[in-house]
Amino acid sequence: MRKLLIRLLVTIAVIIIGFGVVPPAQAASGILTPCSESSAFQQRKSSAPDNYYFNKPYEAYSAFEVCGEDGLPHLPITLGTAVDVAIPFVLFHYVAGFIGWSARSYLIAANKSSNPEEKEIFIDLPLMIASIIQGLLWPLLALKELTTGELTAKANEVYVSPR
Amino acid sequence: MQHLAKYLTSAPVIATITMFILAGALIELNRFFPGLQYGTYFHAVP
Repeated sequence: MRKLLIRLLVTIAVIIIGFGVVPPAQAASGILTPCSESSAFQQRKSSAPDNYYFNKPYEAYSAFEVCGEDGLPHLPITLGTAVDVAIPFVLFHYVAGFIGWSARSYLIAANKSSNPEEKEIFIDLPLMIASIIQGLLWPLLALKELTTGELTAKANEVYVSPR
Repeated sequence: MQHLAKYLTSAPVIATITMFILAGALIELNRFFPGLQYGTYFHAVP
C-alpha cells in the first residue's frame, strides 16, 4: 500500500513538473528576429565594453544570428546548421572518450605488471605513450570489448547489498 | 641522472607538463583559428 502511494505521488509530481511548471517555449520561430533589428540586442551591444573580445562577437551576431525578445542570439536548429552542432558534439565525445580510454588502458596494463602501485606514482613513459595511442582508437576498441564482454562486468560479479 | 629521470616521470610532474602542453596547444589553436566560439565558423549565415 505504501509503495503504491509513493508511486502515485511520484507520478503526480512528474505530471506537474513536466507539464505545469515549465513555461511555454519562448524561442518559437515567430518570436525570433534578426539581431540587427532587435532593440534589446542593440541596447546590449551599446552597453558592452568597446574592445576586440566584445566587438567581434557582437558584429558576428548582428550579421548572422537571430535574437529573441531578451536580445540574446539564439540558434534555431535546421538541417543546414545541424552540422555546426554535430561537429563539436562528436569532437567533445571523442576527446572525452580518448582521455578516459587512455587512462583505463594504462591502469589495466599497470595492474597486470609486478608493481602496479609504483606505476601509478611514477609514470611508465613507454606504457603511457602506448596507452595514449591506444586511446586514439577508442571507439573501435570499445565496440570490440563490448562484443567480447570485456567492457562490462558480469551480473554475479557486481555486489548487491543485502535487502 | 637516473634519479632526475625518476623525478621527471612522477605523476605530479607529468601532469604539470601535460597541462602546459595542452594549454599551449589551445592558445596556439585560438591564435591561428580565432573565433571558433561564435558558432558561425562552418556556416557564415545560419
